[in-house]
Amino acid sequence: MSMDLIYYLGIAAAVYMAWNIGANDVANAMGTSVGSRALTLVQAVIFASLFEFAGAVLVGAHVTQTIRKGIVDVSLFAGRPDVLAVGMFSALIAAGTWLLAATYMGLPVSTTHSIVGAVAGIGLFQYGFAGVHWGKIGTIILSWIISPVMGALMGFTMFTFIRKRILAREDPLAEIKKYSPFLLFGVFFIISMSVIFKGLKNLKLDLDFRTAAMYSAAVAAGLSIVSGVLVRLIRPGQNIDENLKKTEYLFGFLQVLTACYVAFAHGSNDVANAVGPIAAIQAIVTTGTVAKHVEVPLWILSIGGVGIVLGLSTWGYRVMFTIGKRITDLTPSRGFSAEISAATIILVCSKLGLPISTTHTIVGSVIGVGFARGIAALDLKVLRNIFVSWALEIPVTIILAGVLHHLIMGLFM
Amino acid sequence: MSILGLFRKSPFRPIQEHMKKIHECVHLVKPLVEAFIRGNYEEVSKLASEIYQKEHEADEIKNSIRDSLPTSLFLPVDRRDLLDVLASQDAIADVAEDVAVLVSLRKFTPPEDLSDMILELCDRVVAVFEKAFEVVDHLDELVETSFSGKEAEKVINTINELGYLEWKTDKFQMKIATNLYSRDDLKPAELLLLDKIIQKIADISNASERMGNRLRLFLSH
Repeated sequence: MSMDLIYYLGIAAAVYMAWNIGANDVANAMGTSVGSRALTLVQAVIFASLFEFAGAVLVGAHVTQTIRKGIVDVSLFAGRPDVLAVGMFSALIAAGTWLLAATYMGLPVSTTHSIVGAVAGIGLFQYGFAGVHWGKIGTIILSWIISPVMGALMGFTMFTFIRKRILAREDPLAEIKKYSPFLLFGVFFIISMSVIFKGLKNLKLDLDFRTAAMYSAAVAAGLSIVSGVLVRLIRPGQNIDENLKKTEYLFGFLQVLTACYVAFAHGSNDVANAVGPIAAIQAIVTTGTVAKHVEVPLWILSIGGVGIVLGLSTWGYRVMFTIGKRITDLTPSRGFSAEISAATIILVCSKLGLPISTTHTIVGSVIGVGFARGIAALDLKVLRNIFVSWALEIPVTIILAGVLHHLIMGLFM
Repeated sequence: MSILGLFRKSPFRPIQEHMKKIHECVHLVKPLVEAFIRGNYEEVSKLASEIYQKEHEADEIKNSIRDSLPTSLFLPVDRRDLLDVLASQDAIADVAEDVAVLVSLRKFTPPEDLSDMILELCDRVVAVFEKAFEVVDHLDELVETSFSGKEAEKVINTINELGYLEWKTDKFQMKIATNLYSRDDLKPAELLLLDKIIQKIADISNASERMGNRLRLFLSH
């Protein structure tokens, strides 16, 4: 099989993977906004498309490790670039297929873990046990515990605060007017922090953490003062029920803002899962050698972004539509609590270098809000299925990718 | 399906639906008793079958709520408390139905002073029930404020008022019983039947109070 053919097939496989990422993950960012009626389905699809694509292309990793998360030692492939190229193709197909099955069965899984598992499968089947860095797999398994637990703790705390300080007060509208500058500051700070800290790297404006934090604080303060003033213009209603409605309306804004950020962050983080492998193949085709890091050209990032948008607009939205209708009691204050908690944990953990998954964190934060008596009914049977699918993810993708790789190598190479 | 698969349909709105049916049932009790006292037996059987129908519809709602509450469901309130509230709502409809059965058993006209007292009892139990209805009517706001704060205080007050009205109704029931057993102008069967009718009407207020106390458990976290 010629390298060119592998390359073109690889591009198709990357689009397939990106399509599945969009289909499986869009509801994680936007789903609670649709559920709480803060956004209509069409608005959610438009916002998700815009921010996922922008995140993928503007802030998506322009340089990526040849092998995601260094799960397999690249030097093993030094003499056999063709094996690596076929391996990346197999990994994309295997991970994409796992995601396809998960989406079909209604299970939110981690797209990062799927590709990591698939690549580990290549290393395992090609070079045996020594071919995989099992320590890295260990930290990933650890993240199954860390991310939902952190998400749950944060979600619980956030919603308990909102409930006690705002919703349960005599005049919730007055309370949210009081607290909104702080909440807005938090949201804007998280957004600008991650954009400045991650995004400007691509523009070669590499700032250290402290400077980035200072700039973000300034931007967030300015924006929160402006919006804080606007919030104050809202007239109080006649009675507590009306004020509660207006309060939830304001939470709706905060929720949409946070959801857009989560979509943006998701696009920027997860596009690499689809385009990383294809960038590796492209580097092999053009240079004929294997390097530890590869450049990801803008057009490949765009292909990833388009794939994600295709996935969310052809399948992802249907998921939100069917289930969004069933959720009748999810109010924006709950949705906001879950989203902002997940966004905060994702930012903090990626700063600390912990390998956590957006999906796992959001599942955790929704449960946290539930434990703070925030959600009318949660199905713990579904939660159990989700946990099982997380535990199965790595073994299944290892086997899928390994077997596929072995077959292709045996039949065509 | 993603994370949205975790969310299940809220059971609180159907509980309100159920209570609305019970409300319709209870409000037929006084017209029914009036028709019985006036001797309009055609009206009695018409209203009685209306009550049976409503009770049946309420049962159907009740069953569908029970079916939608598997043990794997995580709710903001104890699942058993919720089922108890549902069961005590159901009990209200059951006693209304019992009244409908009793007034259809024998055709006779109760003495006037006793009749007036029975009609007053009807008004009193409906007033007690209305308090219970008000509590359930606020259930969606309670869910929205997570069963805490001002809304919860308001509901606790209503439950307290409910308890007070129920207590007054009990005392009034004593008064009727004293009247009933001190008279000699009733045939034994009529006396027995009237005693049962009075007890069943009064049970509407007892069942309402039980419902309010079950719901109070939601707020005691």
